[in-house]
Amino acid sequence: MNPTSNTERTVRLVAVGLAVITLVCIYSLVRAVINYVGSGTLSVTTPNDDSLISISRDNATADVVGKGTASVHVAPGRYLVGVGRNGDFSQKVVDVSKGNTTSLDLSATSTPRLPSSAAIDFQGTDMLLVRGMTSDQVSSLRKAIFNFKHTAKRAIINPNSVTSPPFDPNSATIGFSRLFTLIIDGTSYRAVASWTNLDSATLQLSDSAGTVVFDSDNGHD
Amino acid sequence: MKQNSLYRFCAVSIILSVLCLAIGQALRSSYVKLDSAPSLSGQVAQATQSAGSGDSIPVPGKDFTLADVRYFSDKTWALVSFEPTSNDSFNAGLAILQKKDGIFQVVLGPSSTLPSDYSYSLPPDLDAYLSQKGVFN
Repeated sequence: MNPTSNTERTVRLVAVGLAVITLVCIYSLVRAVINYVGSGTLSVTTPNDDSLISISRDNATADVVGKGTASVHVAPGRYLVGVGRNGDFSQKVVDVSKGNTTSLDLSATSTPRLPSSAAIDFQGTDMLLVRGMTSDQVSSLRKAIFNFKHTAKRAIINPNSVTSPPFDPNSATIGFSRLFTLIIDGTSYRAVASWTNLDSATLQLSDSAGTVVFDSDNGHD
Repeated sequence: MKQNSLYRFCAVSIILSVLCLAIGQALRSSYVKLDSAPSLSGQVAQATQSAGSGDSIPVPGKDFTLADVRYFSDKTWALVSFEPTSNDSFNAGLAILQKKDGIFQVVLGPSSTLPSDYSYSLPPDLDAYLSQKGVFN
């Protein structure tokens, strides 16, 4: 056995092994370059350094991409960017295109992602309670306002406007009602709350021309 | 002479491999690839941030699975029930998603029950299903 030939054979084997490794590394680099070149940049900023930034998309996992700020390369497409902090959460849809930077400024908020009647700032209801309505009936009025306008933020009852209509002994209608002025997000309506039981009440709204614009018995007019 | 060439080749291969690895790693470090997962599971995982789950978000298939997915109102709303797989800190629950801007987004939950105030915000078929299941409190 020639020791020189043995050494040469070993070196040759090592060289072949290294060549294979090098080819794998080059392939891996080419793939990384292709991904990078074909990607777009998504840049997200938040007002708080401890806000957790994540992205997700249809049929894929979600991934945390940074805290406070993030700038990442992603495949082109539509993404859902989420920002969470102390239990608050906000999300926004963004489109990322090849070679372009999509910037987004997003802060985590406690604002519900789905509007609800509970989100309406309903003021002046005390006078309805004083005038004999129950809290359940007032609650049903809140829901009626929400049905009238899902985006309503504030509904204010003018306490001085709450009146009880005179009882009509000849009327066949059984029930009670209260009349009042209701201002929903700055627009004034003449409102009639009516009820026949203590659990709920209906709401009818008329505009300044006297036209009925909503009746919770029938939904939108 | 021939052996010297092999040594040189080996040295060049090593340098080239290291360079490729370094550059590749640098490029990959800023590239985010989202793995495939069952539909809606990514959005549900992401929305767990609203429950203050810390610095990470659960991984579909590893931390939780979707037990049931139902679509409502012409497939513009979805109700997802999920279950934890192994992580004790992740509770079973449900989430309501609405298709907005072309993508389903969690608009309610994740939670085990839902406030009845939201009943009016949901499409009638989903509202009826949730009421029947006793999800509202």
